[in-house]
Amino acid sequence: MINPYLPYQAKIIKCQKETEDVKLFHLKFTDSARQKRFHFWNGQFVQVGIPGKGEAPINICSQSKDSTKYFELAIREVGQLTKAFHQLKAGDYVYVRGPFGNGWPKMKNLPKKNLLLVGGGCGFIPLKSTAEELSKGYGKKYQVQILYGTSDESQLLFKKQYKAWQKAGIELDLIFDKKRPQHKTVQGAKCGFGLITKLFKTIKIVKDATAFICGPPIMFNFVVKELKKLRFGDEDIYLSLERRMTCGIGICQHCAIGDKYVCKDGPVFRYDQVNNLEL
Amino acid sequence: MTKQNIDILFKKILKEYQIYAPVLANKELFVKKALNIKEIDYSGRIPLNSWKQLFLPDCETLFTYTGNFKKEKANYPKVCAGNMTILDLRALGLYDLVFSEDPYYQQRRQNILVVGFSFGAPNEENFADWKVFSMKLEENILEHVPFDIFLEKDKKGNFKIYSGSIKGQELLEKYKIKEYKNIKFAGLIPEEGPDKRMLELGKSIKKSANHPLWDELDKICFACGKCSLVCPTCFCFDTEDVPDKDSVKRQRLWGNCFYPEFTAIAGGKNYTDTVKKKIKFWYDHKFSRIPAEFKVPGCVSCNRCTLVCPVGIDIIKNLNRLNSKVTKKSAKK
Ligand SMILES: Cc1cc2nc3c(=O)[nH]c(=O)nc-3n(C[C@H](O)[C@H](O)[C@H](O)COP(=O)(O)OP(=O)(O)OC[C@H]3O[C@@H](n4cnc5c(N)ncnc54)[C@H](O)[C@@H]3O)c2cc1C
Ligand code: SF4
Ligand code: SF4
Ligand code: FES
Repeated sequence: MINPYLPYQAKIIKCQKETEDVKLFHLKFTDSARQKRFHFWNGQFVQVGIPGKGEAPINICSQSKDSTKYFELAIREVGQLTKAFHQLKAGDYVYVRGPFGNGWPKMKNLPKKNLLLVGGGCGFIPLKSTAEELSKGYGKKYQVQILYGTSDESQLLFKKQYKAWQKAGIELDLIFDKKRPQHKTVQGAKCGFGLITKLFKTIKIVKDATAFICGPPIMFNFVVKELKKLRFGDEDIYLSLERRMTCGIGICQHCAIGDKYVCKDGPVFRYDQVNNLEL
Repeated sequence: MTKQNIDILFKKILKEYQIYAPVLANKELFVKKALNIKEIDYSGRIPLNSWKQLFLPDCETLFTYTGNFKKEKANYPKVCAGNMTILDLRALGLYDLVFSEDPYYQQRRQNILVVGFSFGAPNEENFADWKVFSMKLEENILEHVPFDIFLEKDKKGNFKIYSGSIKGQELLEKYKIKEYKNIKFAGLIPEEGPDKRMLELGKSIKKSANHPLWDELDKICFACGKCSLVCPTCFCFDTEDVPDKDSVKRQRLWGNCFYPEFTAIAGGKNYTDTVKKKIKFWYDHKFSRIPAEFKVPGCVSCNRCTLVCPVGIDIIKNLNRLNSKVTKKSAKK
């Protein structure tokens, strides 16, 4: 019987600072056979831990096509365990279970092929693999737009990739809500000042599209409201939700929401599956 | 079969197994280790604490870490769960589903001999208030609960014995009991399909967000969590890393959704930050999530939660209010 609670050792190959409180870890399972069997899809997460400090759910943010070679996690320091992660260096080990949950839908299954990605703060992390995936030609075929809000420019994640995304035909719009931008653009992407919902009033939003949203809970309702005004249907909106997690497999109840489990039925939900629940 | 025959059976079982059974202590019935088979209760009443401790202990070590996480070779004791009522067998059936892929549960379960018991129908005392699910002792009820051996006591005090598994059958043969009937377990869901009342209740709960009941409960419940502690279908858990000399033990402990941190995340957000949300979360587990996933009720109507509640919150009354349509129907019956 496979033990769903058994974590596998993974080695930190590289780690780099993305922002003041977010580090990007490049990881590989010590057991290469384990790595070769590792398959995930954008938006799925792993439970990653340090012996003595427990485990935390973290999204895999590298591309699924590389899943059998390595995987990446971007971790923000917010508490005990995440602080311990930030003290690790290349060559150190962490312990990983998963991948778990349902990620973002596959583009080929979407009735509406244009895409709108909306990320707030650390909520941008689970959208990264999709942005990368879409840079491989998809952005030339269909319209792709990313709205990304943070408190200020210093909080922006994955900056080095913005140029490549835009070159691939993706429109990237940034907005800060605490500190005014010092420049008109960051890495070629326009930046504004205000809440992310302001973008819905100031720029043209892609039409006939599917929306992927991730951010703090209050952001969901406001963004969905704006999308509704633009006639996005419930079935064309996807959200990645956050909850406390222990097991990752739908048993411990920590992540429950109404009749669903965020770990198992989510973290990505189609809006019509959760619109009567408190997000 | 007479009571004497049953005593002989348990005496034989006691030679191989530790027996846990309903035992009377201070006029209250508890699931306890029976040191003597004379202690075993045959009233058919439901013990105040549940059997879950036997199947899902309040603390167990999942792994020991010394450079890598390893599951310890556990030596699960041979335990007999004696005289479990039909209701508690239903809860056990639910654990079997929920923990079907949990190696700890499965290994422990293999060493447990499950002996069910009924006295006629589950007795009046326990049934008087039960308007929740249609839990009459149907003809074929034994086909829909898991057990190894089942003892049915009739009004005259005579017993019928059933075997419900190969393990049970082999044991009865070994003990030279010839007079028994084999029952084949056919899953928890009856032939006529999932419990209709359960399905209706699920719908009502889904639509109940603005029901005044939640606000009323918000004022009287003090989130002590006693109800969840005794409830046989509360099996949520936490894990904790406990450092030892040169190792770390990763332990699994009973959780309780009434306790403050249960749904709290970093940054201060807590998804069940009011008593009202906690109770709703608790009810949702039993009446939304379990039925959605397994098509069986997540409450076995044992009434334990009502009995222990310090402020007298009565789950059956509450459910009837949430599902007033069902109340009307059952009132007619
Ligand atoms: C599906 C999912 C994906 C996530 N992806 C990422 C990611 O890619 N990058 C990232 O930086 N963060 C991510 N998070 C949040 C991350 O899991 C928490 O920040 C982390 O658990 C905090 O742990 P801590 O011990 O440092 O915090 P503490 O506040 O010390 O934690 C105390 C306890 O609360 C639990 N806890 C606290 N916050 C959360 C939370 N948000 N979710 C679940 N449990 C929590 C911890 O496990 C611990 O048991 C994700 C959360 C979820 C649910
Ligand atoms: S036992 Fe009663 S008071 Fe305590 S948490 Fe349960 S319902 Fe509330
Ligand atoms: S009656 Fe109460 S204690 Fe018994 S199963 Fe239902 S919720 Fe649990
Ligand atoms: S994390 Fe345990 S049920 Fe979802």
